[in-house]
Amino acid sequence: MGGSPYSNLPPERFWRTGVAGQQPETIEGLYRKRFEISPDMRIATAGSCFAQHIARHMRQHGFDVLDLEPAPPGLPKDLQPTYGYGLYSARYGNIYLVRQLRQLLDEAYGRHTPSDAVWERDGRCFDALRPSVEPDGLGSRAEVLAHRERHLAAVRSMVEAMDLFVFTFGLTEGWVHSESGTVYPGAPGTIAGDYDPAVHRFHNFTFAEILADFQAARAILRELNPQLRFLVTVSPVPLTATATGNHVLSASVYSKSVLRAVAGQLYDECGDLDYFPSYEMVASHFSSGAFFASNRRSVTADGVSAVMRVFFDEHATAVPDSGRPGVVASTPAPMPADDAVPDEVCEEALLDAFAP
Amino acid sequence: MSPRRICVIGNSHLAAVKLGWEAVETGETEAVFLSATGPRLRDLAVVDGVLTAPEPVATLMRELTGVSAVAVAEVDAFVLVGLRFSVNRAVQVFTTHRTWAANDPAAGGGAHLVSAGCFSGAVRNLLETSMALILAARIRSASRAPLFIIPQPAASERVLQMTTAETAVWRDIVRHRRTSELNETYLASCAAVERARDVRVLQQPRTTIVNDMFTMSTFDSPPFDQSGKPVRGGTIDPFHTNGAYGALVVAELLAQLPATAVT
Repeated sequence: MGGSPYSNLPPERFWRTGVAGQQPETIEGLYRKRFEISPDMRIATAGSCFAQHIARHMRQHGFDVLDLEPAPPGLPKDLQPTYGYGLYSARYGNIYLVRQLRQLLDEAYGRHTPSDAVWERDGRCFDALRPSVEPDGLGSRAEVLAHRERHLAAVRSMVEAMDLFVFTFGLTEGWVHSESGTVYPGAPGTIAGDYDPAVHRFHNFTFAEILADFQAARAILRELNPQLRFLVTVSPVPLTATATGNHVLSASVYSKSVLRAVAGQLYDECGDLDYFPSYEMVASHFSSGAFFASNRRSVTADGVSAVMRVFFDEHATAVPDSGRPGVVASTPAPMPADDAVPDEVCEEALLDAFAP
Repeated sequence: MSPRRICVIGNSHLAAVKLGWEAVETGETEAVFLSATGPRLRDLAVVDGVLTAPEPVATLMRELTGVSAVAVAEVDAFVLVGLRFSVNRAVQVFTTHRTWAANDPAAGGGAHLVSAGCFSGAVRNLLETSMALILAARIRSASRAPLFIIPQPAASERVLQMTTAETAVWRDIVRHRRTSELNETYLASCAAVERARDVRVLQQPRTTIVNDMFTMSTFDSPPFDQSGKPVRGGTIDPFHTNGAYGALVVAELLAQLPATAVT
């Protein structure tokens, strides 16, 4: 006995060696995998905008990322995200809130029927639960519901096929149908629909609610797919706008803190779940904001690459397109030279367009 | 008056046009043909004012039509035949992705449902990236001469009697009454391509079409053996047409060509 409980700890446990002595591009020991993610695992992705980067990089590194709703042959690559193709494993668009995830799974398995699920704009009809996947909407409510039915079938196929579910927590603030509790990915009136204070209300989900929602979603998934594992991250992308009445910086730090705390709690409670610290890499003062674009919000290509380098250092796999069969890859594929990664699709940006 | 000189470039579908050219009165119009089968024409390019391809494609073209190089400045109009520009691109998208129809909610079958806008975007891009338009862009970079596209013909109506997996989609189209929709999507895409690319699409003659998007079986190409000789009793190819079809197409082409030579 004797000595300090801190003696003999590895370097990454100390700020001086773990952070002060490290560079964001080369940091080591920040992430230790809880379980192996192998190339033969079928991976599904969902969540906030940042999850799009994770899915793309995993695909580039030869991981089997499911796509249950592929784009039509011939649809130009630059148009595919506009229609919600290739972003996630199904065309659900961005799932910012954990309540959205839970609601989607409940709906897919007949346990929930969303209210006010079709919004209109200029005579066109939109799926209120994923309004961004059809930029011009559809011709009728019946068509929207038919598309949704087919989408839910794809979600069920995904749930039953996947071995790993990668989910990125995005927001705590959301818009809810007051009477039924149905949550929407954006405020009514942003892409389509009309905001009616008598029908819709703002809600900032609490730690307890988010934790309970994820555990409920996890229970649904494990019931259908008992071997399923989870990888969760927190998006480092701040809020575009807040409806809390607070300054957007305070609101953003609050939201991300709650989400980070939920992720930590889940990691402690669930042995089938791993947490990947993309949020710490990008949003903490460790990187001094170097991974944000000039708007201090969008994550740069270098930032995404740095984050994914840490991931692939732990989950290395062969890169089939590299021409180096069997090579263990920890170097991400080249990204566009643009300052900010151009391919992410955030309808949150629309809020910015409405800003004064 | 000097004769009009046209350069006709195409893949296997050029055969019907060549047969048609021989069957009609072409007057003061001369044609040179550049052809190679399959994707080999991908190598065709304008080099120092000459439309040609490197070896071994040049030799293949010469063996096929006797010509492997054409001076671009001496051509009054270019005609691109086949080269994957076709209503079949709409069929290709329909194979895996379908729009919803109020009167046929089961039409999606095992396919994915897409919006009409997404469907037409896919069809248009397949046309935009067809070999025909790739070559059109290369020619346009060197010549302002009129540029016509003669699309691949629609599948023969005979395809509906075939039972192979590859032809099932055409039966599906008819069963779900989607011929008109697919044809309209294709025609709208053609119009957009014409506006954007300074080309003129000579649509399949109406007199050769049945049920919106099938070629009458009287225009089916006869079966050939590998040496190019007709085979009595062989299997009909439902995707190629005969000289009678080519004659109708050539007549339409001649009517659309500029009245006088410009070279």
